[in-house]
This record gives sequence, structure tokens and C-alpha cells, in this order.
Amino acid sequence: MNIPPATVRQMNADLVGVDMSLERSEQLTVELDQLKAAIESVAAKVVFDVDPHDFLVATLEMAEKPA
Amino acid sequence: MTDWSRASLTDTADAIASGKVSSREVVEATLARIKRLNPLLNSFVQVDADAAMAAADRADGRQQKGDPLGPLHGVPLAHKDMFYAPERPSECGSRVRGKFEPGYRATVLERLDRAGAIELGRLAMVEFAMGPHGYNANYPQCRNAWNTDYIPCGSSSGSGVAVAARLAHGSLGSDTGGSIRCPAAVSGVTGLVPTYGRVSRHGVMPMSFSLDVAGPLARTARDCARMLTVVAGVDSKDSSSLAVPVPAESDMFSSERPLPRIGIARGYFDENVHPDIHAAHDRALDEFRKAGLEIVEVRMPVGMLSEMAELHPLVMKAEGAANHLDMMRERQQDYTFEVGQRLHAGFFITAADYIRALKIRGMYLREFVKAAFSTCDVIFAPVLASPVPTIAETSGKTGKDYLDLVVSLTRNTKIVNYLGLPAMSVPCGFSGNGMPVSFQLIGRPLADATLLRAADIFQNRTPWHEMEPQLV
Repeated sequence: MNIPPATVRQMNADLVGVDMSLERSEQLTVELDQLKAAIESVAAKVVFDVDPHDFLVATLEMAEKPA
Repeated sequence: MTDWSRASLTDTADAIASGKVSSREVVEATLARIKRLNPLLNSFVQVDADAAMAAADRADGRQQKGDPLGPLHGVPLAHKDMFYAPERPSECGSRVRGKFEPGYRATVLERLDRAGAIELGRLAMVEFAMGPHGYNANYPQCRNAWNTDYIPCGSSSGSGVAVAARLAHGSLGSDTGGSIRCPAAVSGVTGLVPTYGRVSRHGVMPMSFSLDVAGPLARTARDCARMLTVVAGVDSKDSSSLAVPVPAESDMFSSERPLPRIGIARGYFDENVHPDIHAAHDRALDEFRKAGLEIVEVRMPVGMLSEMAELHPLVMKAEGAANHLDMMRERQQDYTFEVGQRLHAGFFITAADYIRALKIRGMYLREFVKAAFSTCDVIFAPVLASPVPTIAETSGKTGKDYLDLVVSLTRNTKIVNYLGLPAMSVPCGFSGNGMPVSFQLIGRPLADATLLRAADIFQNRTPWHEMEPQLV
């Protein structure tokens, strides 16, 4: 995984629109690579049929039962 | 003569309720202490002395009339400056919201009002709750009450310091990755992060809505329990609010409840723990054993924890960026350099990646609870693995070493937010540099009362929560 600095700069100009120095956009490529790698490394665990609200279902399902 | 500014929240509430002391006397003593010590500590960004005294007099008047009293009647509290109220601004530690007046009251503040609590003012915090060290270039440096050369941690920096210095009997903070537990830990006070959804966030500044939890910092587990029972409970104004009963304070500490079994976390949490912290934790575990609690070792799912530690910032940064994009476009110059930098990455995370990180939370939660709580009720782990750093080591720094230090501050706490679990920070001694050491208790969802019970058992046997910094 490698997000080129030029891509970050282009995305910032076209999509984000927040002032960012050239140096910062180059630093960001490292951070973005880490975040991208984090989600890609667990991609196989993402289930097609599960939505994000499953988390609240799991919260109640796994909750401590009243004493 | 008792100095009621230095008594615990529950002792003070009970003393006021029994007529032993008036709310005016307590508030007056606390305001005098704030006046004396806040110039040194900078834990308050605003003190509302006149309003607090007027509220104390009203509270005493209601008591004299024989009106029913709430569980926090007449007790002075102060909160992180991100709980909205119509009568004052909520700056959220920022210049961007320097004149922000939300015009409505946070649900938790309404509940504290109904319980009779009195608000002393607004407490310091890291800008927009984005940072664990407690540094905020917008304000004078908030300093650790145990040694003013050391950081207070953040982002609920003022909350930890104010409670430690006895400038407030309790405080509400918020925790997205460790922002209640880390300040509580380094200030030697007790902090509770309730189960995600247990406490309403309506009227609480959002940092990352999938991870944010509001909760109390106070001197003891019983103080935290008193505040929790007041603020917790379903709220139709918060979509994440759980419609589950809140345990009564008396039930939480009932001796009829079975003793919780403590599981020492083996793997991940026990990596690179400083010898001073390790020794304090061993002594704490001995106290649990002496109290009759069973202690077991629990093998942590290390790979899963490492994955979640990497996914937490992806969710936090994406949601933070969504909250701040418009303000960043319009007023970027008003953000501090560090917080501006922290937000940048979130603007580039794709929606697909962000949603994938959310989709697997339920799976992780099920797997973690099965792995961690099959043989115990409470996981025992460090809050911080290293002694508290100094202000000089953290403020205004950049570069890899600094970033590694910042990341290390929340390494053991942010996973809990990703899983939405309840957790506590409980003081258990001091490290060689004279700064407080704490341990973390983590429970399964809705086990808030079990954590409080375990912490209370520990505090009944130890003096650490009663110790206060020697301030001139």
C-alpha cells in the first residue's frame, strides 16, 4: 500500500479544501498508509451481511446479566 | 474543624443532607481553595463564584423548608468545558468555539441539577478533546497537582487536577480513547468510563460519536457511583442511549453481591510495564487476594487487541474530520497547530474503510468478551505502562519520539472505547518520581456496578484514594 504525496495533494485540493503545506501532505502519506493497512489487514473479517449497528446488538448480547 | 472542601463527594453530600454542614459553607471553602490554588494549577478556565454561592443559598433554603433533597444536594462540582449550558459559553478548549453559546442544557447537567449539584465553573481541557497529554496552547498550562512540572494528561485535564487538588468534589469528563482514565491515573483520583450508551451525550461536544463516553472523575469509587446513578439512564435525545436499568447505588455495594473474580491480563497489556508500576500492581493484587477475591490469569487475544488499537484511530479521525471539516475550511487559523494536524488524516479516509472499521466492532466485541471474561468478571490491567512524563517532555514537541510517546499514553485505554466497554482507573500507589500510579479495571458491557464494587473493595483496604497533593 502506498498513497503518493501527489495524490494526497490532489485530493486535498479537489475534495477537502483545507490549507495544507507541501511538507504536511507528504507526512500524511505515511499516516494514511498506516490507516489503510490497518483496515486491509482485517478485511477478511468484514462480513457482507453485518451492518455497523450490530455493535449495539453485541453490546446487549454480551452484557453482564443482573445479579 | 472539618475542611469540607477536602472531604469526599459522598461524605460531603451526606453531611449536608444531615445538617452537619450547609451547602454555603462547603461552597465557600471550595471557592477559597480554588482562589488560592488555581493560579498555580490552571484547572479552571472560568469560576462562577457568585452563581455558585447563590445556588448554595438556594439549596440551603430548600433544605430549611423541608423540601425533598437529591443525592447530590448542595455539593459543588465542576466539569470539562464541553457540557453545554444556555447561561454560559462552552469553549471546548478552543478559540473556534470561544463564544459558542449552545442555548440548551446537556442532559447530564439537567440530571445533576435535579440531584441538587452545584456548578463551580468550567474546567480546562485539550482543544476539542483531541490529545492525551493535557497540553492546550489556547490556555495557561494546566499542571499536575502532585508536581507542577508534570503533565495532567488529557483530554479531561482540568477534571483530574481539580479533583486531585480538592477544588471540586467531582467532575464529568469524556473519554474517546482514554481521556477520563489517563487524567484520573496521573492525578491519583478515581475515574469511570461507563458502558457506551449508558450515559447520554446529548449536549456534550462530539469528538467521535462511535467512541465518546461521558463519565465521572472523583475521589472514590463510591463518589463515582453516586454521580453515575444520577447521570446514567436512557435519553430519547441520544440515539446511542441504552434503554437498560441503572443499578441503585445501595445495590452496587451490597455485600450480598458475589465477590467479583479478577483476571490479570496476560499479553498485550503487560508488555513493557515499568518496574515501579509493576510493583504497585502486584501489591494491589495482593490486597484483592486478602479481601477474599479470587485472582486468575487471563490470556489476552493479543493479535485482536493490536488490530483494534490500529482501527481505533481510523474511526476517531474519520468522525472527528466529519465534525470539523466546515470549521476547518472557515477558521483553520484558529485551530492550534497540533489539533489541526491531528484532523488532517481523517479528511482522506474513505467512507468504505471507515464503515468497514465499524462493521467489525460487533464481531470483535463478541470475541473479546468470550476470550476475556469466561473465567473472570473484571480484567486488571495498567492504565499507563510508564511513569507520567513531564511537561517539558511533551509540550510543543513534534517528531517520531514525541508521537510514539503520545500513542503510548492511550495504548491500554483506546481499545476499551472501540469495544464500548466500561472501565475504571483506580489509584494504587506512587512511582519513583513521586507521581501517582493506577490500575485499570475493565468489565463486560453493563458491568459498571461490578467494576465499582471491585474498586470499592480495594479502596476500603488502602489509603491511596485519600492521599492529597501537598500544595502551598
